[in-house]
Amino acid sequence: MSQDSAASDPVDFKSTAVFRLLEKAMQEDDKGLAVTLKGIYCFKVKNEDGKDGIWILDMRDGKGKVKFNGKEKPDVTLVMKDADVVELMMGKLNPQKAFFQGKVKINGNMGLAMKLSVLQEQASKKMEELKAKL
Amino acid sequence: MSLRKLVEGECGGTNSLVSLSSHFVQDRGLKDEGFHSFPHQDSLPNTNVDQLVHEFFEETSHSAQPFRMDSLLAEMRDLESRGAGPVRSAPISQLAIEGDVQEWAQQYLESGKSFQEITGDGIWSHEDRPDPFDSASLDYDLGFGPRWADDYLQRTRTQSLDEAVPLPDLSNSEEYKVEEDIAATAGEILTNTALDPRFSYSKFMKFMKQIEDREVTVGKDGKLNPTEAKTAAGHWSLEFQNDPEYEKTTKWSEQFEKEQETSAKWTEQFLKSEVLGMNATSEEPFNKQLWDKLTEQWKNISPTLAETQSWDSEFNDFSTEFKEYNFAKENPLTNTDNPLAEGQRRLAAGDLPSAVLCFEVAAQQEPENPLAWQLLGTTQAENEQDPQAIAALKKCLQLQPNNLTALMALSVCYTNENFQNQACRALKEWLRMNPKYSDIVPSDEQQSQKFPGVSSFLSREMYNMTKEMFLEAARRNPLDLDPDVQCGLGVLFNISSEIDLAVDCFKAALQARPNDASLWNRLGATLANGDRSEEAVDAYRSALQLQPGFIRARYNLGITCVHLGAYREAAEHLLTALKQQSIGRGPQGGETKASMSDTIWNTLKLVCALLERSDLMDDINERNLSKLNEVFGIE
Repeated sequence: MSQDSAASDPVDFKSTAVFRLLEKAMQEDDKGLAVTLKGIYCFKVKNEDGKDGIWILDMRDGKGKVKFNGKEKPDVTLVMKDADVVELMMGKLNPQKAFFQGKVKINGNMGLAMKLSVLQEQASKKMEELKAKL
Repeated sequence: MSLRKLVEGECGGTNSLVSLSSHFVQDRGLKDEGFHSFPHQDSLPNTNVDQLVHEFFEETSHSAQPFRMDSLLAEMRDLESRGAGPVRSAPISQLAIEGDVQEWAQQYLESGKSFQEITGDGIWSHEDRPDPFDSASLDYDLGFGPRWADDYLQRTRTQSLDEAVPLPDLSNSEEYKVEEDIAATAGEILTNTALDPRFSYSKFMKFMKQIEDREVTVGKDGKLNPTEAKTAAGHWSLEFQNDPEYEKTTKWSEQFEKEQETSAKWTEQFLKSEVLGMNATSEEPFNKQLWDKLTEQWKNISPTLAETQSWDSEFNDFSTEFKEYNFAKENPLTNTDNPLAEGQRRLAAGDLPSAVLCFEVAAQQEPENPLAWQLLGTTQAENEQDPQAIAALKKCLQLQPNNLTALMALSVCYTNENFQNQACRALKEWLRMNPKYSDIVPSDEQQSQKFPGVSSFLSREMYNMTKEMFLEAARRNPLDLDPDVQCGLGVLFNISSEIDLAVDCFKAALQARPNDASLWNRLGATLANGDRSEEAVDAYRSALQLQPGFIRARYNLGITCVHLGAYREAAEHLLTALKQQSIGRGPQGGETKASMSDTIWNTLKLVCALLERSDLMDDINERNLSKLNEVFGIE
């Protein structure tokens, strides 16, 4: 993993696990949901200490790749807080609602941003597997 | 960026560049055709073009009441009173713009929906009639007699009667005596096309009609001119026919015709379905007979089942998963003496997988023994094999419907597998079967299957009802609380994600039974699902202290470690759980891959992804436990 920006370390972010889970989900996905997205997402995440982390989700070749501090030019950039990323990806936060509440700021291709729920679905499916059993 | 704004439309509005360009595009074509010099001032201001066009559209869209005689008649008189002067039609250029392609097409489709089949001559015959609004002509207009009218009046959106409006007869007007040949040519075109209903509604036809009636004259250069009508309308009409617009018109009319065909098909279908409906009613007694017979047969086949459970609840049970318990293919403990006792001994020793095998043997030897099935189910649940547990518990309940332990365990398993509806039903059943609380459950509940159990969707009504009943049960003896009721409430609050309440319930239950490992595990799982991972770890540790071989608790501990970000520890716990599952297999200790839970392997896969150890993926997929144990340093 590249560590270009000295300021941020993925360990500082709760989102790290979520993004890794998401990547895993994308790799295992056999329905080709990533194909429907076809683009580069950029998540600019701010954690509680005010540090910025950038995740690049590259979905151009139909398989999701997640990179921390990636350098690809994104089609759409989503700026949000660390905790909100976790909520969003666990399916607790509706993407549209989050947008209207100002929890997500979107720059670039809105159409791609609107397909965020596909990502959400993928991630929350993985999170579901991590549920404790009674 | 600014360029993009120009090109891309804002939400809802047209963008300036496009509308600007459309301006040019719209006008240029007509100018090229030589219509540019058309005079735009109106000689008769009260009949300006827009109004006429508007009127035309208005009339066609007076749909709701197809027989609006009064207004039409008034309009008629209006026209006639005006008729002395020349009525100027829409200038052709204006018509072309107004009746822009889309709109015309729309118009045709609309009128197609109105299903107005007028035979070619019919429409022209109206012109000869002195009173076009007599009822006969209207019937004719609709074309299909009362039955059709009834069927289609509801759908009829447009009922354009305007075709029947006779145009003012201007032949006597001296000032506008038009050359006979123009009118004749127009008339000729009309009669040639009159036979074809496709043309009846085209604006072109209307226009021709107007020419024939000498409302409009055509200038030499193709200009429309009401005053000097000197030259060949034939030439002009030829031009019109060569015009691409004309072809389009034909296409539209074809579409119109197709539309009519489809509507005819619809009626046919409608009639057919009606006929079928008639047949169905006549077949009903037969069906009923057949059905009764089937039910009878079913009852004969399974007399015990029919006795214990109502028919449809049986259906519900069968339509869900986990019908059959899958026994291990090679059971090394097949020859154990008194497998039930041996299983219980191993269970007490904390060797869950061996206990499972013993109970399987017992269940196979005595398939009618509910205790064997019950122990098999509860042990499988602790062994992190919920689907198997559900199958075994259901079997147990078939044999012994009032087995409270099995019902409670079943509700927990269903909750874990997200079958919330079934979980709720199991809990309700638990109350009903419990002699202490059976009076809480309304007795008619068993009959009224208001809540079908096929789907896992839980209705709020059902949930609230069950919760109320449990709360009622809990209120019964406030001093000496029943840990089972508390446990049931805990499960219910888990279903509704009221974590704090669930935690309180399990803690209360633990006060009564502090040595129940499974209760500790339930408390831990509830805490973990409520993002209270640190407390959950304590609860799991208590459970594992009481029962070191409690695989489910070990697995849960692994998951909680994941949530806390301790991936390495998580992997260790998961591997420990897997090892326990695999080595517990009988005295031979042979490792069988099938004995390990898929859920644990899947979680381990995730953990390795989080650890970024993709090099271990192959080993996980092959379930190479010894290799993984080596990597993580587990003995």
